[in-house]
Amino acid sequence: MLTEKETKPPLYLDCIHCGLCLSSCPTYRVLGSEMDSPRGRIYLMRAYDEGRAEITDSFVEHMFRCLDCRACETACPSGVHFGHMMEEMRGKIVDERPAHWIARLMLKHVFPHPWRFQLMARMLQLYEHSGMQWLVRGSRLLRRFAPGMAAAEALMPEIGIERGLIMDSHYRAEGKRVGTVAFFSGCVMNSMLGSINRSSVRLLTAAGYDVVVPGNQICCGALANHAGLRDTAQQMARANIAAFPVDKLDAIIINAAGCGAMLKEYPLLIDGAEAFSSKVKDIAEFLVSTRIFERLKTPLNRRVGYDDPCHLIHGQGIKTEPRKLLKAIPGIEFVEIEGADQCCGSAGIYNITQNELSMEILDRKMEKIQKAHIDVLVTGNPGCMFQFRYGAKKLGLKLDVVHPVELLAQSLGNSGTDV
Amino acid sequence: MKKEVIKKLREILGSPAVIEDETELLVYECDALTLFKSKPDAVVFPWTTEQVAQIVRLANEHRIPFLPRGAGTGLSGGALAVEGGIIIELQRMNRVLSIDADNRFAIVQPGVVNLHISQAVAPYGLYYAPDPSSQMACSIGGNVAENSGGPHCLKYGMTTNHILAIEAVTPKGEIIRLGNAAGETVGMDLLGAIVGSEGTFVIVTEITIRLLQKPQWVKTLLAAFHSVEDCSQTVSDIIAAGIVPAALEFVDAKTIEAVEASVYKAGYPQDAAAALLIEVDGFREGLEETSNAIVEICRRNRSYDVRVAKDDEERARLWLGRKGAFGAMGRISPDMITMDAVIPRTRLPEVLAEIARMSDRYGLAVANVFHAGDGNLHPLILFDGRRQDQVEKIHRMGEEIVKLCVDVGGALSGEHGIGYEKKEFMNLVFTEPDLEMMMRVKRVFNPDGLLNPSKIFPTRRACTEIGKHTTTSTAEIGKRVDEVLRGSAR
Repeated sequence: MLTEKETKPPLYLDCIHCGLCLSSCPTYRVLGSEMDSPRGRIYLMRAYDEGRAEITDSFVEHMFRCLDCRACETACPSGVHFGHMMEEMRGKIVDERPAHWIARLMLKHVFPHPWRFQLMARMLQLYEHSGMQWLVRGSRLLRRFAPGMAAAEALMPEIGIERGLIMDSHYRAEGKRVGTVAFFSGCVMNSMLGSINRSSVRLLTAAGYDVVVPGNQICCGALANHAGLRDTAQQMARANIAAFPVDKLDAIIINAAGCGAMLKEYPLLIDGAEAFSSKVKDIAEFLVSTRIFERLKTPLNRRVGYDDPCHLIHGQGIKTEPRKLLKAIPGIEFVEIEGADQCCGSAGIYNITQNELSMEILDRKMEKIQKAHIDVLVTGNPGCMFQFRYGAKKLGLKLDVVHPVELLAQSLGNSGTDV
Repeated sequence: MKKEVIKKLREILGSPAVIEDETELLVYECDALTLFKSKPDAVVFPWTTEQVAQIVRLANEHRIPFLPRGAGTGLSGGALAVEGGIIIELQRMNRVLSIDADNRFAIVQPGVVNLHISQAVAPYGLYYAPDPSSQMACSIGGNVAENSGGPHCLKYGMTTNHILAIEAVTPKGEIIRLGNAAGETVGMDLLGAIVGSEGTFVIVTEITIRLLQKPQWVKTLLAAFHSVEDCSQTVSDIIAAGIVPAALEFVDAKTIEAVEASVYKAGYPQDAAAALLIEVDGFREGLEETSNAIVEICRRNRSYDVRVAKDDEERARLWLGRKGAFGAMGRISPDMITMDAVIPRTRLPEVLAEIARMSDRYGLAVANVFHAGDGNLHPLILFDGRRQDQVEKIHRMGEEIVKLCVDVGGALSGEHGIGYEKKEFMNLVFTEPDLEMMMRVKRVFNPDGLLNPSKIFPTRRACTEIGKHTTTSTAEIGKRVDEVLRGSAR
């Protein structure tokens, strides 16, 4: 088989070095250094490919300092596929320099296996609710002996004991059935933010769709792919494609932006994924063309701001749909937040691997959120939600951070199926 | 560079703000002009004017060349470290320091992005007028250095018309202040000499800019033509009718192809040979008449479709398409070089036709997208930088285009600067005494030539002028020229 390189010209040739991407890049905005900009990173990738640069410590640093938020793709007049290039480059780096053992353990041996992931989530829950966390934080021991780990610990999401969807289940449409969709339950969503998945299914059934939740699906593989573990991501893609009866579905619905972008881009990862990927729809993208609007009856009197998850706006080009849905909820006062299309610094596990920079980016973001004087912040990706909850807590803000489907489901009131 | 210098730079700025790693330096070997590459020995990131002055004094002490850099979106190699040395990257000095809405000025640091100024003052109904196509990325410091233009400079003037005062570090490391917020010239108008000196006189560290009130009413039109000649004639006719549009932009079929394939898809007519993007602004009264007059002129020149943007959204889209046009060339070509010559408007048809013939002769595609209103051409020559034969052709074709423009009474550069790219062409338009006078002025500001060397002035001329001393260092040439001028040379 021909390798990618032999069949098509290198992707970096699309970059004409104009620099229009610069101010869209969160790391460039903070650091102002060319090698931490999309243009600079592409320049280095090209230099590597042409034998003018090697994979040195600093090379690796700058490649992994990228948030993979893909805001540069939205800004790029040349249509450079930056995210894809970065994933490939990281793949090459990881071939030469294996990732950190903790990252490998998590991404290769925990995320791809749903029950191991569940187990981990429950252990974290136990840690938080048993008083152990209180002890660790109170004693400040971690901060003293392992400050890096303490920073990661501080970012740990508060995991409620929320019931997720039951796998291998089937939910019936309400009223006249329009069609059948499958639900991609995700790893984090279903184990840590289960009520969001249940709200999603409630909305889909209310919109007239039968919803199936295939039992063999696993994590989408995005985190592994972003970390350069392409083999692992490829295996996960194959497992997921096999788990969904694509022919029988009108759509495959996903409610996490990062996972949605990954599922839609399986064709960049493996062959034969087009049929699956072409059916993938973000929940907002899907709902906006359904009859859900007539069901949003219960008023919610709240001042709401929306923050675009990068992998929704930049990765999937979805910007207006979630806004349109939120604005349709009676009673809501919708506010545009300045710089809503800019990354919050969460970026998968970036807030742990690049803690300092991530916090700087978050601080700038929180400043703008405060200016909007909202009491609910809506965003459609679990990582971003955790990051914002942390940011709000740090500042002592009274701010609910929720997924769009939570507000939408509330507006259904008591109507609709209980999931 | 000596370890000792790096150590001292780190003492001034702290370790992470000094770069000397080979991989990291690689990305600083060029700006947006990639045809020429030269790696600096170090890149430093100061936060304050005082730090810039300290760096400059250190460089002087060790006789190391240095130069400022902004966003690196320049198209003439102005931020190219031709002789190595230290790049002083000003991107961390990126704050809007103060806004005086009543008196309509703002004080900003050089690293502020052009567009961010307008965004920052928008709540006051104000904006900063010069709008280079790269305004979403380029920095105001770079705009001052290059005296940047942009579509709306047709009506509102270039950067130099909007700079009220500056604070700057001289090439010897002193801090000076010129101009004042009231915009009055007191004493000598050195500000005018510094704006557009392409970073060879001083390093600007703080800028007081003029703000304008947003026009009450704006109308944007798009006129499509089946022939380039008709389109260019329309440009001349609009100006001849005494109309001063806010902007008058030309896009040809190749540009339309690239833009329409990009994220900045603007709805440009894909069957047109060329189109004009025309904007008029001002008080609402009379604007309708002006706009109708323009439509009439377009029709008379056989425009087959003239439409007026119906709302702000469509207007914004038409402009984003224009401003993303250079970058969009990546859709149709791996590399591109942007020319920047200015010609008399009336010569547009023949010059464009000749450029088309050259394009055929060299076998290199050319896209034309430019500020037609002031005759500022931007032929974009498309090529593949990996092919040496094409790179050589580019140089020859570029020279031929420049000569053509000069022959019809034009200028070398409208707004991108001479930089490194066009310095050898200076002989085409300036006489020996012209160039000597410019060099002497430069030597007043930059006597040792350490600040941004090897820019603007032709090397060829200086070498023949001075005789056997073949050298590429401007510092050296500068010294020699001075000797010649003083009559002390052999």
